[in-house]
Amino acid sequence: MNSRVGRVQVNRELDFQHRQAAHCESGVAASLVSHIGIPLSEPMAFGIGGGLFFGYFPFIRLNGLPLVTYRVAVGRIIKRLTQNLGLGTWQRTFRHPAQAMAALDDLLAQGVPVGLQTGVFWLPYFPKAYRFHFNGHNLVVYGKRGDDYLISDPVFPGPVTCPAEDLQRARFAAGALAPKGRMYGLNPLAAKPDFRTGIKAGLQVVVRGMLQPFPLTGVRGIRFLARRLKRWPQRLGPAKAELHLGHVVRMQEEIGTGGGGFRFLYADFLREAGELLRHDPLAAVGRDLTVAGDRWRDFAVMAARICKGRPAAGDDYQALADGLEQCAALEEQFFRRLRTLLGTLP
Amino acid sequence: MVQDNNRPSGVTGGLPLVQYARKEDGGCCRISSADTAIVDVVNQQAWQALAVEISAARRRVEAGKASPIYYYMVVNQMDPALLGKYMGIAVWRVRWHLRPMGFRRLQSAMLRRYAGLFRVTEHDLRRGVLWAAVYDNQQQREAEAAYEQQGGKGAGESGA
Repeated sequence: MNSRVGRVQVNRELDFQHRQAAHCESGVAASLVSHIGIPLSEPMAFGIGGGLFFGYFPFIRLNGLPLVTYRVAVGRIIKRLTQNLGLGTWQRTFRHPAQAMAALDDLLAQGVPVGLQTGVFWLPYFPKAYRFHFNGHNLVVYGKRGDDYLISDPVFPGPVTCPAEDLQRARFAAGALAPKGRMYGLNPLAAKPDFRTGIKAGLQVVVRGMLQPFPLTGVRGIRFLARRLKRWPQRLGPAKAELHLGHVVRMQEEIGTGGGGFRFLYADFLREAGELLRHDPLAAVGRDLTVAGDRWRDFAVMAARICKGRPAAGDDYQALADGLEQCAALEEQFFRRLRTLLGTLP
Repeated sequence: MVQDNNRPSGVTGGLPLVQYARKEDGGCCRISSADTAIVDVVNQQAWQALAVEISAARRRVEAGKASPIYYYMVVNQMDPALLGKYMGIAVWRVRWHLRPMGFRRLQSAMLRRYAGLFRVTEHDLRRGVLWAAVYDNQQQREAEAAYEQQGGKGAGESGA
């Protein structure tokens, strides 16, 4: 693979404020929006972007394991966030790596911080534990020093650097969700965004997603997973069932979910949105979601004990499924309530 | 936003993470230090499963049942389809190269492309030197590569 970089020699560090976030996409979204002059927290970016979701798709496989997701598809959060706030965005994908790197350098030379979709596997600054082929990662490049890019990766506590060759590889990672060098950013601010309509639109999309009738997604998806999970030990044998279970927990608790499969993050959004709109019921309703978040946590803890081969008394797949049913019931109740609250928003 | 991060964990490599959790008073949430105990268990489980596959692949290669490319494919967590995408060649060609016979007939140019992708030298592939994954022993490998070049064993450094 050649590592030819852009014709322009860039040696520049833009003024970009790095903030650590729980989730990469909402973190990047919040940083980019803040950069053009609208201070925005990560939970707000996640909420207005309508990030919360649930889906279980056993016929889509990742490394032979079924796809479980607690959030909307990659790229959707930024798209919805900017749409709901009426912000202008641009994005480009590339066929040729050299072209993609040159375009990145050009933008940096113009003083524009650039959001990138990358794979995780080839990024050298990631610790070993996260080096899986996952192509839905997001980061912001805000400068270049010599051959190293200066990167604000929201998962990390501080800014990091990455050699051009590795970044090029990460931008052209192959496989599911291949980024094809995708880069994006926000246009300069034209008009002040209306947070009221933005929040409403963000809430609506999540409520609809969680309560809709399709059996594999939303609350029905959680129940579907519970039913399937119950039969894993018989269907797959104990070893494989444990792998499947570990996979579900990894999707829920690992890097970038903020814990409890985004439920806590969303609850924080509800509080902040309620305070912003001066709507007390909305600010308070998030508490009920944290209860569901705690149930998800309990589920993860029990699952981890089983995966470790040290189940406590009463730990089995039936109990796990019951826990999931509880989560589903709590969330159904919660989102129904949120739907009625939506009508009362100013 | 508050964050305190003083719980390094083995698996996250000491990377402090941000998480949201319930406040003690039962109210809304805020950022707290990441409790990585659960993640550690399931993450380790995934890596253990991979380690088993890798050692099986190593045995197959050492027994002459598969080519070194097969080993490096497994170490890099790929399957023939993904490897084919990275190489820009068809899956059946990758499968052919995974067999010792197909591997022996590989042209130097193609071998160099594989070597570049896996970050090893063409010489490593030819001789069947099985390194650990890129993220495992970068320093060790650099040291040995430097040593080998000094010894003048001649392998051309591939454009990794």
